[in-house]
Amino acid sequence: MPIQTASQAISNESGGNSPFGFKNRIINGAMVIDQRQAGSNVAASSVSNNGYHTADRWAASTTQSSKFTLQQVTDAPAGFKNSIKLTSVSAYSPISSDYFGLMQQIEGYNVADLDYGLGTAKRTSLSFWVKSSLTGTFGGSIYNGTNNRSYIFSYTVSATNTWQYVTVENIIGDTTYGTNTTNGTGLYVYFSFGAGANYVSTYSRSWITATGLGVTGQTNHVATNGATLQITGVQFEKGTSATSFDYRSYPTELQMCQRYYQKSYDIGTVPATSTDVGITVGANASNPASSNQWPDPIRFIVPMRTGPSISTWDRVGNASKFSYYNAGWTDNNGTITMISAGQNGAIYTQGATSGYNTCIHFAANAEL
Amino acid sequence: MYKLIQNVNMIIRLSDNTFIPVNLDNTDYKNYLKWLEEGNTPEPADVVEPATPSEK
Repeated sequence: MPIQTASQAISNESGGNSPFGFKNRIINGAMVIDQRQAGSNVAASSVSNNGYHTADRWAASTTQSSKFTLQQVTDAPAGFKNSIKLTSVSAYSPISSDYFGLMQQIEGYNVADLDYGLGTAKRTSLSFWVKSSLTGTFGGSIYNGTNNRSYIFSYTVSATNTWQYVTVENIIGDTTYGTNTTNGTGLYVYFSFGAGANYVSTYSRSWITATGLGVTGQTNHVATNGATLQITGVQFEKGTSATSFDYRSYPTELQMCQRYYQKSYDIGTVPATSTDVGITVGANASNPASSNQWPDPIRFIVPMRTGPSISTWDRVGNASKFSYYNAGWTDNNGTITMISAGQNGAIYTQGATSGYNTCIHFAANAEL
Repeated sequence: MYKLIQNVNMIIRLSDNTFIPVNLDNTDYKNYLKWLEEGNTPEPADVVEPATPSEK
């Protein structure tokens, strides 16, 4: 392991870029992993799934349903294979209280070293690739976990449908307000797709006491039917300048995603798909004498951020049902009831009298 | 809309049959608390009788 020199250590303390360890605080910044949709196009909604409809860790932010769609696509700049594509599906002019965008919530543990709220707050840099069907000035922000402090940024796209690298460098640390430094939301990184007057502000290169999500005068993609915005290669790092993308191994990136969302299905299989591949088998047979059953366990692949919400399906995709195998599959049995869910696993009962081992698929969600 | 579950610290979100732990760090549970604050009431839990030990 390389030894950090004294000068490098000093550089880190003053906000310099670190070549060691967890450089990019964004997870799945290359948009490679899409456990929920496997690349399908879905309408953005802030209500269902808390906006998590596309590539892992990325969420839609919207005050109006069905104004845009999100999709993991294979169009990307050199060095990347995927991007997230937002597509406007109407020509909607945002009212003052509207906002639309794509965001990632960075867990507090992963920004604790930035010392927000202290005089030693560190400087950071954001970088990303963008491709837009519209030219103009666009905006976004970094804001804290309590939604009361924002650092607005803007960028200009001068050529349509062309990949462009954007850097927002030397972002000063917020010395005034702290943020979550444990398993809550530490910081949001937000790319606006449209915003009303209540959520835009000028690019002042400073933290403002407001939930700012875009820049004053920005072009709103949602106002043009069919307008698209693609983003990939997102990196948020400690330091005064943006550096090359921190390309982590696929297994590492996947396990980082699974802290927030995991499932029994194969990675490329959308939950509720009819398949026995990956299905979990209960440790206990369901009780043939009674519909009041003994509990069965689910063990998680990696510990989750917190006790997750859990959805289950039988082999063919019936919600809260189970399948069993006895020289062939029998589906749509019982009623699954979760008893508890923690960071390492969950237990459930089956509610049926089949007398066979309970087989279920699951998806566990501990997103911020 | 939500439904309680008898004798366990979980609730059900009925729109997608998702089980949500009673856990203040869980985002879905925080949304449930907001829903309660808006004056809504969850459906009561189903009553399930325990199995007798001899059945195991």
